[in-house]
Amino acid sequence: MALYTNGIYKAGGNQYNGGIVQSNYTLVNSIVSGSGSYWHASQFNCSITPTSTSSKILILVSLGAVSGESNTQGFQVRRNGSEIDAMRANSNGSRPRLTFRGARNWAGDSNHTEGAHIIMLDSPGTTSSVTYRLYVKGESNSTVYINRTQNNSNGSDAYQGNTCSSITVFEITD
Amino acid sequence: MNYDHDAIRKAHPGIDLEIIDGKGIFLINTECSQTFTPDDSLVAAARAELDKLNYQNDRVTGIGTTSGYDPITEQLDQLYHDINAGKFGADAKTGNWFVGISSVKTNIPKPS
Repeated sequence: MALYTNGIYKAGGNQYNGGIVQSNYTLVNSIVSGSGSYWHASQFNCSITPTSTSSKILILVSLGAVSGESNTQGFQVRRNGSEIDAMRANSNGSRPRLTFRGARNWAGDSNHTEGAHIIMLDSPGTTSSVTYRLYVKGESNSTVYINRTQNNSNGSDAYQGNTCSSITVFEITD
Repeated sequence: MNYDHDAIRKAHPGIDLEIIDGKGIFLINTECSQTFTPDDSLVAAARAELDKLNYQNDRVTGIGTTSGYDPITEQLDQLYHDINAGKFGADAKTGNWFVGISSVKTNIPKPS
């Protein structure tokens, strides 16, 4: 049996039109590396133009593999290139205010690593286009690799595999 | 095109680069607007130097049917049993741990 309606109304009387109203997705299936303090991983860009100033933007970043010359790799998700408190740690001394971080090694060698994934919810408060970008800060500003291990040895075993990564944004309305 | 990330970086230390396979080599934070052209001869020399270090990783992973080092926990167990068996002094070189490590180093030698 099918039930048809012209709309669903909240208890307060307002019509419910919420949910995911649009999305954008950027796939990064090449190997990316960079060095320096907070370098923009330029392949990780995802733009969206909210339909309402009250909209929330759900941001999903999936890094298939993260590795580097040093032990730790830090990441920030930024809106239009700016650090947003809703997408980074609270201020605490001189500690980097990261969105998330990864680690290079497993079992003491450079052939193994793991992926990193993050979900953030932003409230940009605008109906202008906003772009979410991934910035990277390796330990001691050393090289960070995305989609490969540090050694990146060639072979058919799982630990030698390359990966793909992505950034996805959803607009969610009330 | 895939790039030799490690050799390019070794050839040009001190330059912060973003290297993207299939796209290019760029100065960081330029939104791919400033390309960087590596010196091919320096990159080749850097690759040759890096290749000399391959034996270190080969000794960890092994090559084909040639085994690499045992896992750390297993090596520690070997050391325990060697110590428990009184393998000290010159006898230490007859212990399981030393013999195992020596075997890997012999089978996967350091290039000259």
